[in-house]
Amino acid sequence: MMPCEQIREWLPWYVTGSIDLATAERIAQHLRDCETCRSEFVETAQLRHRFAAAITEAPSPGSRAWRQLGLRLGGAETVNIDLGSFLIGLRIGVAAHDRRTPVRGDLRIWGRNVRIIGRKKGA
Amino acid sequence: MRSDAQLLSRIADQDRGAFRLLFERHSDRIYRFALTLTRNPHLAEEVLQETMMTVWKAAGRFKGRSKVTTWLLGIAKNQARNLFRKEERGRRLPEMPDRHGDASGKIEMSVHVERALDTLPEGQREVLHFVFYENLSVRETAELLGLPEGTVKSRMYHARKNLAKELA
Repeated sequence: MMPCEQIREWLPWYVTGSIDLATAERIAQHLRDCETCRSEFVETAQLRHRFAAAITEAPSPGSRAWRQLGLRLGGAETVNIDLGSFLIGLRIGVAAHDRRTPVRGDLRIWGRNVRIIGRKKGA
Repeated sequence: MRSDAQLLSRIADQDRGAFRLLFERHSDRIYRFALTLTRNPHLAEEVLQETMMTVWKAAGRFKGRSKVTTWLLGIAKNQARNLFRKEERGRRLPEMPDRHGDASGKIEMSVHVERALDTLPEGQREVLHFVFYENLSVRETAELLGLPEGTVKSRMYHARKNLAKELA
């Protein structure tokens, strides 16, 4: 039988279900017999609900963050055409960066990209 | 649908389409974690930017030993630490958006939690986020934080006690 202190340390993971079955069963058995730990289990579940709800309420950074990232990558991609499958295909991208509109094209062969238009990676 | 690991493999070949997909799947998660850590929307956006730039440059280093989500959160954690070092966090006041005027009970509840989080140390906010929001196991949390599992459990115990006290 696990002592109360040990049970209480495990409660957050018991509440979220991120725990192995054997430990979960031992905790469930303990909670059936221990009113103090049962009450702490309820408090922990409520606390987790409030915390997760508050985090989910946070506003999303949205498309602005993506645009900024696009500029750092060397221009916001304005056109992206991807034909074929994951293994074989052709992808052409056109970006807008200051006064330039770089075009890049990759041939995809067995899942690997080979640059056929534009600067090669690391060039 | 392509898996996150497949997207990373294509990002390693500088595939911007795959990068955008990964961003769309995980940007909210990374931003929310960064917000929990920094308590500042501007810094949280910066952490998101730096995390995604690291992914763009280092996608090939992902070896599949952990979940992609855990790998991304690990990068975000390091980026937040780097920012803290640069910004001398002690001098900055939290700048969370003022939502006190909102009549919604749901928003009101979030404001209470946000205020409570402001009072907790960074390490406790971090462990609360990993466990209560990301549903990570003790082992996964310990790996991400580089701490023994026993320390994670005891830190989480104190974190939830402190959060409950602040919310009471």
